[in-house]
Amino acid sequence: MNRRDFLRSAGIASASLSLPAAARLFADGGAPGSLRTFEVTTRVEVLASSGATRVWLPAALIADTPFQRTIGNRFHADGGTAKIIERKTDAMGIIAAEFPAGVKPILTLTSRVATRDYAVDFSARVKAPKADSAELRYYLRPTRLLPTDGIVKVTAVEITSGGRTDIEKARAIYEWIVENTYRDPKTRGCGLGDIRFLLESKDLGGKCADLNALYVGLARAAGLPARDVYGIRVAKSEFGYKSLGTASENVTKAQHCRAEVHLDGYGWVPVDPADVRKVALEEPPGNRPLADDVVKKARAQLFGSWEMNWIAYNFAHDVELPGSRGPSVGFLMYPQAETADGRLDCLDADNFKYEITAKEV
Amino acid sequence: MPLLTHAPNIPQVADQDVHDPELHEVICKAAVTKSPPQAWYRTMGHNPEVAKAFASYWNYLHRGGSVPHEIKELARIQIAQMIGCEFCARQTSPLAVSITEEEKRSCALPNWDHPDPKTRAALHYARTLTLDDGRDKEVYEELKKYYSNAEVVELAAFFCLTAGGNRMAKSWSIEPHGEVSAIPEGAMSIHGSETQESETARA
Repeated sequence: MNRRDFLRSAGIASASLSLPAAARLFADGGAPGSLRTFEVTTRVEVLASSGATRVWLPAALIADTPFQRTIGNRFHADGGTAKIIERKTDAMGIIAAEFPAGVKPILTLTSRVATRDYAVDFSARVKAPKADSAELRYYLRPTRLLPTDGIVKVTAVEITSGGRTDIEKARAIYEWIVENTYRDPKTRGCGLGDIRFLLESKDLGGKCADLNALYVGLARAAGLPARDVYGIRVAKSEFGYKSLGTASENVTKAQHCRAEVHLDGYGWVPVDPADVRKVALEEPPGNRPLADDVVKKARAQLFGSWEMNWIAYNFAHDVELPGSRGPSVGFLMYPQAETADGRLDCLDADNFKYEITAKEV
Repeated sequence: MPLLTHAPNIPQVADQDVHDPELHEVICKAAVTKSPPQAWYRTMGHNPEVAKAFASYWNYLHRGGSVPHEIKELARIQIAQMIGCEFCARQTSPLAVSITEEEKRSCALPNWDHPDPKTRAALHYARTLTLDDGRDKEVYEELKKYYSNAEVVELAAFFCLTAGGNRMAKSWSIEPHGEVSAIPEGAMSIHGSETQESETARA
């Protein structure tokens, strides 16, 4: 395998496209005013390498969506080999690198991505194309961390029992998450996303990978296709939320998971109840009640729209890391690596180590 | 068995010696779900892969699936009493809030039947699988009134995993039995009534 590679997925334009041309990337045209292009670079240098070392990185989304088109994923493995492995059902690309013993393992991935703010107009039904039924079935399935039976099913039925339509049910779950969960700043990373345990413990605290996964699991248990969208924040919020954007080009710890629910007539609808709880906890001066105007505004916005100062990696759960001797990961949002001594702690960026930077281009 | 001199056949792994993060997570979560408690996974922790695989299968069968958790939890208590595992019979899942003390005391008594027919059918099935060969025709007729084939599979898998786990816990002698037996006098037993009395007397 060539040690320097450049991916150009079918139908995706070259990384050298200028910004105005990027507007054409979105098949449905859209509002050019909200178009943004980002270059996100992940550099991994495994400090504690012993024996052969493997590194895995999430590539930017490999499928086209109304909110994102990936222009390119370019990667380079000094002294090793690297390739991209795709799992199309989850729009996931995994950059998988191998380094022999004695080589300093350094892997760099640069993803160039065009994004556009994404909002669903709930007053204009039937615009969305009919979704593939196999795709919708796929996003109803239980996963290891997102079971749809037991307490998840019981809770979903309780929440949605008053809803007559899918949109009412989807909104009921959203409002329930906002009302009943909280952002726990002590949670490591973005959380584990073990929703059965979250409900069983009756302590509904966590971060985005917990709270938005809870949304997805409850929606699936209620019969609504839904998916987590794992990604990373790449810029400050132009919508005025300090807590929902980055403070600098260093975005090493800015991973963020969002969610989508599929509603007939509207297609995939963006939601982010976890970010409502983030605004409540973190938006200065902090600890805002749900009745606060800023929180109310975020709550209204985040059912049906996303600001695209964030890029998506994939929709995947239960990810087997190619060539790994270790267990699958619940989701692939952080760099992963394995040496002869085992899997590294993906949340310990400084000792791992890795750095992620993002700039608007 | 005096509390201070209790010597388990397999000791528990100390928390500081648990180096597998996934096993650590399993043990931490057991503090909340309680059935089985942390002591179970600390003992299984000598073999982390077995412990983690057990936890995954157990969590699905015990608190997942489509049969209501309360029914399976009451059957688990019944099986623990019939096998004579004090450690297992003392546990209660905090999610099974509707199970009453009377149900716990009565579920393994030979002349007692649960008032709810669906629960009763599951308890009869657990009983025949634990004490007999599990092929009782009348039990199956009753069972099929309330459960699909998929649910019968779920129940059978859960009951057999429970029975096996109870034997493991007894064999390992994880914890001292405590001052008061969790197994009611007169409960049905895999060992017959004489052995049951002996087990209870040891508690």
